[in-house]
Amino acid sequence: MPRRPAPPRTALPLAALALLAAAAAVGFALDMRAPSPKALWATDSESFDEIAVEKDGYAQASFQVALGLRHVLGRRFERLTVAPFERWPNPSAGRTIDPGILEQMLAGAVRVEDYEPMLPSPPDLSGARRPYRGVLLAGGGEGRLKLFTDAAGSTFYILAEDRAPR
Amino acid sequence: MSDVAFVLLSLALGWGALFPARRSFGTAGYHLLALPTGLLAWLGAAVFAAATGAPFVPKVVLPAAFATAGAIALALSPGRERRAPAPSPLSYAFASAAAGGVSAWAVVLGGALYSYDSYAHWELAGLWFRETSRLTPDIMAGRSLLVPAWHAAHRTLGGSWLHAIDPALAAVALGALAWALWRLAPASLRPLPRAAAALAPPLLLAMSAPFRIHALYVHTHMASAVYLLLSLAALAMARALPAEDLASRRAWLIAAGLCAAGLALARPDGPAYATVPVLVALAVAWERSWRGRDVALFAAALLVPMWLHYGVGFLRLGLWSVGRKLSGRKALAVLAALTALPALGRAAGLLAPVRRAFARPGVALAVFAAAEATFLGAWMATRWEEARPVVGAMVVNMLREGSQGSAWYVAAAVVAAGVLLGATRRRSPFAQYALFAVAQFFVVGLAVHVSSHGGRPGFGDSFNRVSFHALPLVFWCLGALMTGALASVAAAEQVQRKRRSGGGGTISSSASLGEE
Repeated sequence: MPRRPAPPRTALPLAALALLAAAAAVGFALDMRAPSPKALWATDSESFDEIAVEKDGYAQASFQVALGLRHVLGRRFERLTVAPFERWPNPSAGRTIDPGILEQMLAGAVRVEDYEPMLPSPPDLSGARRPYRGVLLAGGGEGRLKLFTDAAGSTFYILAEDRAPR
Repeated sequence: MSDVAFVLLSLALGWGALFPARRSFGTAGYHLLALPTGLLAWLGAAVFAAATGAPFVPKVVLPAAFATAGAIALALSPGRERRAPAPSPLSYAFASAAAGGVSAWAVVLGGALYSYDSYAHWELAGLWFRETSRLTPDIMAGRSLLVPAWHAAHRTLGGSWLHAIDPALAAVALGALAWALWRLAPASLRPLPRAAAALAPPLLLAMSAPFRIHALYVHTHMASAVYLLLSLAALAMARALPAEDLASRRAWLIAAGLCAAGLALARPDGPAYATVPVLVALAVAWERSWRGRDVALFAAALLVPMWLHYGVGFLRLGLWSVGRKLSGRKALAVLAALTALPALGRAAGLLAPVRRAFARPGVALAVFAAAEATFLGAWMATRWEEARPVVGAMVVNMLREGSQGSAWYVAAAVVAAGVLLGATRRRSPFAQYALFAVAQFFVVGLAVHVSSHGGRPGFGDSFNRVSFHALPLVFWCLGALMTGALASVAAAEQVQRKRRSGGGGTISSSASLGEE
């Protein structure tokens, strides 16, 4: 015999849930007015156009890293130096520049807060040469990033310059 | 290949994979499952390349991806398909336009959100894999291959920076939530309130701060959330089908298992979170007295991709180890546990007293919850000093520091309503499974993060981002409660009408798919 549920007494649950949904809508609408974390938002279509120009493999990836640097770091750093190769915790890297590992390391360079304390003073870049596939511009004239190796090709530097007017 | 073309190709792969069961899934279900299923095909290609050392080039990648889709289609082929209309050509056009439109929007407007992880973890892991076809301990312990495989395949097919997948999956999440709520609503609801209850939760989800971030954030979070939601939605569909519709039930169970595999392989912590759909599947199987073969289909669809993925890792790297991340030993242990769980569940179901007790709705869930609360409580108590800052960071981030806005205040209110409104919850039976899934998700989250991740304040904290995976389920709970409350009101109106007309009678609150 089918079970007969107790007749519902009120529409209170529905009213409570409707109220909850309305409160959620108001709360979320207010959330939309709050500023988003700037470091996370990057809707720079112009930059993507520039990526399209850079079609040659690793330079393209490096360019994207550079874009990431700009967007992740914003303008907090006028100059950024990155730990030399051998400091990276990747035993397979050694001193050989394997392009794949290289890219991962370049990307790792973004985590400045982890590595900056290891470099109490910026290295002297006057001897640095061989820009890694050229100078990478981060678009919009806001900043410029250069990726260098030293003469032996075993040390990498990323130099970020903020050229935006203060 | 542009982002848009990659999304459309993945969608087409999914259509092909699911084609034999398209009638069982129904038009909306078929199209919503297609993109996540098609994306799994790239994993098949990556696993093939890693296993054989074949270069990750188009003439290898494309046949391997199509072969993976073919294997899924083969698994879905046996059994007589439901006699229902096949999806119309117009529906394919609509699905293509929706997926392509969202992707194009992401590309044209540059609507991507990216951080250190987007590059260093996912894009460049894909780049590395494309160049080498090699797995590394870092990939196995810190990434898993599914998402890097997407980036790798996109580049192999001529693309560059892949950033349209997450927006496309976000659209799938919203569609799947609305679809599940609509399909599973009690049949006594009239179309207008039913539509309102099906549309309000996805709308609210879309407005929430975490969703707005993760819909654009190039990472693994939207994928994990979609696979978790779809796995549970597929289980809910299988549960709600009439017992005699065996072919459809089995198709849904395979889909649920595949989506659980997607959840498991989208991130290194995924295998632990796969326990959420596994436990729900076991509870549903007991409640519905499903046969062993049903559970086996779900388990196979989950475990075959996982064993292939990790099996190649073991073959190539042995038992890898990278810090406190997913070591080879841990992966093997979790795999063994996930493999044993369905078997143990089936064995327990063979005992008549257990079978009888667990056939009652909610009993299995209550037993799981009680057992886990006991073990987790005892475990946390033994390492409280370690756990306290992690738990503190979780709470502080979700409520204040993690750029989550008011999402988790709302979620807490929804969960409280789910617990307090028992009668309402019972009118929409899958609501309690969704509620259990949210609780189970947090149990796993606590275990994973206390044992392997310290917490830190801010958006970037791991659990702060991972918590998003459960948010669609919270809104599923809200929608299910709303449909339950609306069904109560409809039932009350029915009683009043019958009283006025002098009749008695039984009140029905049956669901559209069957007996609910």
